[in-house]
Amino acid sequence: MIKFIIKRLLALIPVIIGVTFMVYFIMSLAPGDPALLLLGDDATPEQIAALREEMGLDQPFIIQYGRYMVNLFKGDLGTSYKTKNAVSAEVFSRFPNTLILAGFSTLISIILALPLGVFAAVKQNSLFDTISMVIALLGVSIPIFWFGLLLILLFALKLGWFPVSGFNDGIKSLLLPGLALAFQHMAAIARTTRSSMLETIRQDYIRTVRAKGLPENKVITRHALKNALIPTITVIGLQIGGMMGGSVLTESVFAWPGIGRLMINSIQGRDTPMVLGCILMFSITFSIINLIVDIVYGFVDPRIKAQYK
Amino acid sequence: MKKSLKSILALLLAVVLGLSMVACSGGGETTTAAPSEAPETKGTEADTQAESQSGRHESSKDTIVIATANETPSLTSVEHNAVAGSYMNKLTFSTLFDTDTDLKVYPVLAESYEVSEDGLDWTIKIKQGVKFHNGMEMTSKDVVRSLKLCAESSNTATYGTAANCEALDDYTIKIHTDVPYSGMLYDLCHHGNDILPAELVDGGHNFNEAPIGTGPYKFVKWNLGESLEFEAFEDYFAGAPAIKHMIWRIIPEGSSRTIALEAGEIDVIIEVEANDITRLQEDDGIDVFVGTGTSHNFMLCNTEKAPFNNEEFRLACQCAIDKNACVQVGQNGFAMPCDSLLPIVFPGTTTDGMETFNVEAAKKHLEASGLKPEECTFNLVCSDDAKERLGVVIQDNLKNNLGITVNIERQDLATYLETSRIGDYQAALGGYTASSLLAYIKGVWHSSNINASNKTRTNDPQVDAWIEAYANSFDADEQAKIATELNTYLNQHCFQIPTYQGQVTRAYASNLKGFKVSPSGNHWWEECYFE
Repeated sequence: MIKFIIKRLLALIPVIIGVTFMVYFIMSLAPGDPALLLLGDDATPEQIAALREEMGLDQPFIIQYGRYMVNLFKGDLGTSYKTKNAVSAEVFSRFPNTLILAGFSTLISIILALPLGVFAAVKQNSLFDTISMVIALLGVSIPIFWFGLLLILLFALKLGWFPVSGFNDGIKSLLLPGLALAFQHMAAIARTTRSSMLETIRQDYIRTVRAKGLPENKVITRHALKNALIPTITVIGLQIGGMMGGSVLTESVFAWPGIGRLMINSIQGRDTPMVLGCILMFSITFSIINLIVDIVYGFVDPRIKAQYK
Repeated sequence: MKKSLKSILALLLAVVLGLSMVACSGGGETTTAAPSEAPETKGTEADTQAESQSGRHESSKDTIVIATANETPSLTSVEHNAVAGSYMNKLTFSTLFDTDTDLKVYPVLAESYEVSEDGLDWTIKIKQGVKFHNGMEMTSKDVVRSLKLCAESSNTATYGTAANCEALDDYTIKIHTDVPYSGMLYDLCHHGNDILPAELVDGGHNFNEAPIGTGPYKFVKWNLGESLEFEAFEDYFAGAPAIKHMIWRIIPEGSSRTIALEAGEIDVIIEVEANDITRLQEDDGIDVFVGTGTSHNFMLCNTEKAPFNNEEFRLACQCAIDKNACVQVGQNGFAMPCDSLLPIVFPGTTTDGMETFNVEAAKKHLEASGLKPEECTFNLVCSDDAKERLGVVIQDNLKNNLGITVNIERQDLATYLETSRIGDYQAALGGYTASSLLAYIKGVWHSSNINASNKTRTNDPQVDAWIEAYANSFDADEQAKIATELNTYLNQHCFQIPTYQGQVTRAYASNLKGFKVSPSGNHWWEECYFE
């Protein structure tokens, strides 16, 4: 298992190189000049040229990229074009906030989606099944932005239970953005769990344990659920990645100081070092989540664990 | 089963709709009513800055929370060119001069000034006993170093016109210019010319981490992406602010800012969502300031490219576009329709010479242009949602009134800035904001700014001559006369199509008193207090 983990961690190196190259290349192709954005309309061509030189933007792409990579492997993520601050300082100050939001939303979505999916499968074609799947459908269909505003209007403005936005009221600050983000992802997890459970409970071995007279709750929890979890774990892993990258709307509505908003602002400002810093964090996190998902597979299914050599 | 499924779906939809209605109901408040045409001013004060600095009120609350959409890129005075940054600079630093609510220059750190007869030398006496946040006293040495620093930074060099300066004694400086330049005092109002301690500048102090100036508030903390905190500077030269703590919260979403003000979480909104203004005006606990702004908006015409190289065609467009519709659709009614090529807030500016909305006249101009409607199809660049809405009005007007097809091209801000700067466009929706007429005419119309802010690429020696005469004149009456002549000429030739004059809007808790905003967006937080 340790060998497997080390192998996967080493595989991060080509991922980082590939991601940085793609992003740097795309950002260099994008129209728009970061120096002009910084100096504004009134700047003369000479002032813009001077700033481009100061920022190293007058160099060919490959030299800029090479310099970036050398610094990256020394642990330096560069300096933001816009704020002139170290990218690492800005990214690391906001990344934990996004992790907290994504982690909390994942927790809520799992807590809600797993029972919903399992019961919907067990009670297939019942009223509960229909309601669960309609809720799941709403979760997928309702724009997160609109749902977030509805939550704010009802729970913050009308009822006054939670703050409208911000970060400083602990769990109270986290609940509404967490719920808004979780609702959408809950739907996918619930639907996957339901279909996977439906497939599992029709297997011969489930029929066998039922024939042996095992109580239905034990049939479901001990024998069916564990085997049905593999696709669900895959989806949960993907959803966490989606929550990290897709949290920008939630962060904007709830004024949550996360990395998603920072990345969008940086793309608009053509702040390549900051965009790269954000995307690198996403890529590394996503790769690690995938690794964790693979490790969890092993615990759920010993046959998979046996392959980790 | 089908019947029960339908019932369940109906029930769930009813629940969702119910939730939406409960959430959206605003005690009978409406967001759809249009404002009156004339700008409404609530909470403004007509007194001059000099009068209002005379004393401070007691504040019943010692913390003010201000919501803004954008986070400053920097707390330094010279390493940014952002409006969000200038708000922060106004708290921690001061300039020698500033502009008041009538856009007139008044002295801040300056005591008095004199211009030599030839207009080349400015002698400025500075106030004595002014302290920096670190306790040091400001002297002319600090002023000279700061004015030079402005010119040294690429971000602020445009405003570094006072860099050729020297200290005559501890409290007097002299600025020399090569040609008479009447825009000097306005340039000295820019945040790039904020006064910093020379010793710290030369010592490599990091002003982004610790902005030490002479401003009314001292910097406390910056929570990246979330908020900035300040505290009153008790030794502020014009008297300590009444409100002792200040928090600027970054709330990017307009609706969230509105709800936060309604819920009492914040006290002031800097960028008010146009759709929410009417709703906020109806709230008894909230005051809304709506005043004329210096932002002048227009359809940029590239006069080097067809069909906009044809003056009659430009005049046809001007006559075919309904500016009231532009304001209603583009700005939700919160702007002033505009028929002048200079912003109508400065002395001497006029609508003389400009034709107004008249479809018959538009048809005549199109005929006179020698162009057929099908030859006049053009692309209109729009760089945000409001501009795209405005673009749709123009598209509709030109199609219905003249049969001209307009293709709307959406570009992001960075792309728009570049393409419009180098003239790689036919038409675009743009705007320009300046706190002085000289800055405006120089930026938008002088030929030296082609490939910069002169995006119509107007290259007219007569226009340049007027601008230079305006810059060289120190006589207000003469300047107004030049402005009128220039404005009339520009209107007659219609180098671009004006659309609307922007308004400055702010919303704030009604118990906040002393709140003022200038047309260029200046605030005087040190004069605010809670009743």
